[in-house]
This record gives sequence, structure tokens and C-alpha cells, in this order.
Amino acid sequence: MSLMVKLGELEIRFRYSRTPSRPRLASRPLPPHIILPVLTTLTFKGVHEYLYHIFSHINVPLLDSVKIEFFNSAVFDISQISPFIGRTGTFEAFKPAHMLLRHDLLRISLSLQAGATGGRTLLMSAKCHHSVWRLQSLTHSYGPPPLTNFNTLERSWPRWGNRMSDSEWIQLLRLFPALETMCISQDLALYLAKALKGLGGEQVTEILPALQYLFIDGLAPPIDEGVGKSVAARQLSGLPIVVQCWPGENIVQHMHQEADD
Amino acid sequence: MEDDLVAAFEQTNRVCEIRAYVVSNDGLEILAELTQNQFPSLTNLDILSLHHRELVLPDSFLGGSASSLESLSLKSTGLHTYPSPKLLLSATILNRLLLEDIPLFGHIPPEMMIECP
Repeated sequence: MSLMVKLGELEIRFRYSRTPSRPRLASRPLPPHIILPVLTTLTFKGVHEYLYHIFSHINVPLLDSVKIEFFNSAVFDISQISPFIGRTGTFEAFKPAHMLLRHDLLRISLSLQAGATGGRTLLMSAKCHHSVWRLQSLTHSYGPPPLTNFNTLERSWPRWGNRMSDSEWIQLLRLFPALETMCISQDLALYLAKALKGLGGEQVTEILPALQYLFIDGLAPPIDEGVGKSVAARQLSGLPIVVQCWPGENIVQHMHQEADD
Repeated sequence: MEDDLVAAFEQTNRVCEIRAYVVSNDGLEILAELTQNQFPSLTNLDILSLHHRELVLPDSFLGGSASSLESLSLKSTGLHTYPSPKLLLSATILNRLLLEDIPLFGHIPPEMMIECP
């Protein structure tokens, strides 16, 4: 790559494995930093060590679209990714941020608003087979700033959701203090409603304090009861939320379009 | 080998795109045989290997030069497909590099990816 000064798009995709082997890292000194001056698009799918190792030695000043999917870690070390996605890029500037949970894939997309910044985007994914605590480690690796604009928690909840207790659901919700909009399936709403039902009024308002809109793809009596209590408590605390029946994919498509713009 | 195919590859100055889908040993040999010359107008090369053997594109591939190549895509569903370092070194105007479905156990070491070779 050191001579590919006109490289604009680089895509490296390893074959997925649940137990990926670690890359053979260099036993000899790596070359000094190289510059790929016109690289704008990077797609990587593989183990995180490989990506970090390569990009600790490459400067890509014009990179504006990054798609990453890690096999072996849900922990994205932002300190290692941010230097190569743009010299001025801080993750605080990325918005809106979206999170999708779809079966075993967890995906977070961050984008800079088009305009002066050029609409830089970062899409990160991880296979998420085992438990929600990988999700927790992921959100912790971000730290508070990137999550301030986190606004979508999507449907198609992974199967490990069935094994979570009420307290674990509450812990999960506490990971997203800046969540403004949440779109969830009826199944997920049932779990959350049951968990919220057991909380006192003050506790309810402490969870998802920034939430403004809750879309559920089907309201049923058990959901009404659990969510209704939260809505009432928040109303009293001056943190009203709008709860609406989610009419299918439209709202999600709308949000994806918004993220793409 | 199809005469038309041979005739097409003989037009070395006019070939601007090659898409090869390799499914067998015979396919590898045919590809190697047809691509020993330089193709000065070749801008796009797309190789999909469905063969379950490692495919190393030899130094003689494309006559060892890819000076006009703008897009290189290598995808292997079997073992890895490697471009020769000599070939990549000559691809100085490459704009798009896609390496897809790389088996983890046979991956290109990061330092090789950076230095190349």
C-alpha cells in the first residue's frame, strides 16, 4: 500500500469465524508511517488487532467513510480508531448516532452532518452472540460523549434477550442516558414494561432521562400498564415522552435516511 | 479452450476489463496461460475463486505489470487468492482495492499489507 498513492477505496474482508485466529503480528519493525493521501472509503471486516495494527502505521487524511465489523470484540477502542478517521474528528461531533440490534449483529452508525465537515460517517458492527454485557462493554468503551446523540434501539432483539432478568433490563437501559428516540418491537416492549413496572416513580425518571419518543410495533395491555406508569411518572417530573404505535418499517427507514443525509 | 476467448485475450492493447471466475485447476491454468502478456489498457481486474486451493497469481500474470489498473478485486471462497507483490508494485494508479472473503488462517500479515511487499 505504501506506493498506492491514488488509492481511494480499500476493502478488506476476512471470512467470518466464531473463533477467529489471532493475526500473526510483525516480529520485525514495521515501516514508518505511510500516507494514503486520497483514501476516502475504508471497509474492514475481521479481528480488531489486524485493523489497529495496520492503521497505527497509516495516515489517511481524507478518509470520510468507514465501515468496520469486528468478529472478536464488541469493544471498540475509539482511541485507536479516531486518529485515522480524520485529524480533526472527535466523536462528540458525530450525530445523529444510530444503533441497530438485528439478530446477532450489533451495529452503530455515527455520521457528521453534511456541510462544512463533508458528511463523514463511521459505521461499526460486532457479532453479538452471547449476552448483553458485550453491549455494555461496547457502550462503556465509547464513554459519555458519543452516546449523547444515541437515538435508536431497534427491533429484532437477539435471542439472548429471553434470558435477561428485570434488573438486567434496567441496567441495559441505563447504558443510554442520552437516548432520545427508541423504536422497539412488541416483544422487547413486554420485557421492558415488566421491568419498569417494578420501579418507583423516581427510579423511572432516572432511566432514559433524555427519551422523547417511544415507538412500539404494537401496543398490548401489559405494555400499556408498564409503560403507562413510566409515562405518568415522567410527566409529573417534567420529562414527558410521546408513545406511539410504530407502523412497521417506516419510522426506521426514515431514521436511516436521516442518518444517511 | 474456446477460440473466441483466446482471440479476445490476444487483443492485449484493447482489453480494459477482466472478470475471471475460477472453479477448477483447469481454470487456473487457463487463466495463467491467457494472462502472460501485458495488458496496457487494463483498468479493472476482478477475480472470484471458487476453487478450494490457494491461488497465487504468478509474477508472469499480466506480464508482471498492471500500470493502468485502477480497480482490483479478489474474492476467494476457498483458500486465499494472492496477487503477486511485483504486480501490486506496478499498480501505481490503483484507486480501488478489494480483498474479500480472506480465510483467517491464511491471511496476509499486516506488515505485508502495509509494505507490499
